[in-house]
Amino acid sequence: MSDRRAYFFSGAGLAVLAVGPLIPQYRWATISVAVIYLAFAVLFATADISAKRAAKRNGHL
Amino acid sequence: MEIGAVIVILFALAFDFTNGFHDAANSIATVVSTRVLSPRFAVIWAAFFNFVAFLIFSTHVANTIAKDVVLQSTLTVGVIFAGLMGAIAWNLLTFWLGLPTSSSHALVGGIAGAAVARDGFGALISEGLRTIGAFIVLSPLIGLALGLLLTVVIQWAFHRRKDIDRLNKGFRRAQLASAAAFSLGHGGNDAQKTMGIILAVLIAAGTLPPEAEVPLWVVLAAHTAIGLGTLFGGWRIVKTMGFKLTKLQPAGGVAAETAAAATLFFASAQGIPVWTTHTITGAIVGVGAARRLSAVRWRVARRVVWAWIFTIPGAAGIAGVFSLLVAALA
Repeated sequence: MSDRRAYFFSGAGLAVLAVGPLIPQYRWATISVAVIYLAFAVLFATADISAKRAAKRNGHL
Repeated sequence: MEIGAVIVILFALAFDFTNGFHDAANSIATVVSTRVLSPRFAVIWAAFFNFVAFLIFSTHVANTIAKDVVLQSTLTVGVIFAGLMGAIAWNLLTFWLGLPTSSSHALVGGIAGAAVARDGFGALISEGLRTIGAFIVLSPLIGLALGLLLTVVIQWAFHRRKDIDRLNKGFRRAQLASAAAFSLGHGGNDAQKTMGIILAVLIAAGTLPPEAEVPLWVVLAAHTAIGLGTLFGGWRIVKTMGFKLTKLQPAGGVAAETAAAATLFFASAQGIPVWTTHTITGAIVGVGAARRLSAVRWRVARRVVWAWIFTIPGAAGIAGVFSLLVAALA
């Protein structure tokens, strides 16, 4: 994993999962947010996101 | 109504005003930092939407503050007064230091601290505090995830566009709507914390029965106070949030505000008091992190996190001292 964001988002996803059991009534919300983080962690660890680079180059964001 | 209760209600409204003064500035940080609105118009814009939020949200958050933090048998007018004093003192201290801490944290910490000083830890309602505590961690993380998601969606949707000026113009217009949505979310969640305090005072004073809902005059008074506080808001905090955390373009501003607004709308609908400062900070960090982690100024983010960590014990400690003083003087 060359992109440090993969580690960052993995950590954030695990933090959400760690807090989840405190509020079982919001299980679906915590799982959804954790899935978003872990999906981004996988994405940043494995994919070359050319759209992101193009947007950066064009100065959109 | 006894004079003590009237005084505490006035203090609660003063707290709401300081909340606007202290927190509501965050509503406009991104819109100012992207130069979409001048500071003067941004403040008026945010204050207006803070006020009209009462038309949209129910009072679930107010009920949580009044009934789910401290046992009603402990929540006397004196305890509520001490809690408020702790929260106001903490707010003023952090405002003076220029730290973007949460007024809501201070309020929950203050009320809990005052209650513990009077009746011990048994006075706290663990389930309510657990939910509030969990969302202290979750609200910035939800904001961050949504901010990141929206930023990537925007990047993918518009990355082939070459007419940057036109695109930025469109995002600037969209930011007016996203800033308004965030101010609505802020007004809806934060004004309700004051409503919760006033509801608790009215119940403690015997003016309302324990199962009562928030009266309309309380709703209007709380939204007026937070709106006025926003009008007189502090610029030191705006600068920390908008200018120092990461550099934002209009598209990033739209993503951050929309993400934070969605988080606040969800929390208000569920009756969870969350912290607008946390939420927008998380969303701004999410937008910055979508570019690269080094786009976020982590030193500033760390300072914000430390301020949060100290808020509940800080406000609770001050409120505990006030609670003991009130008990000694009563």
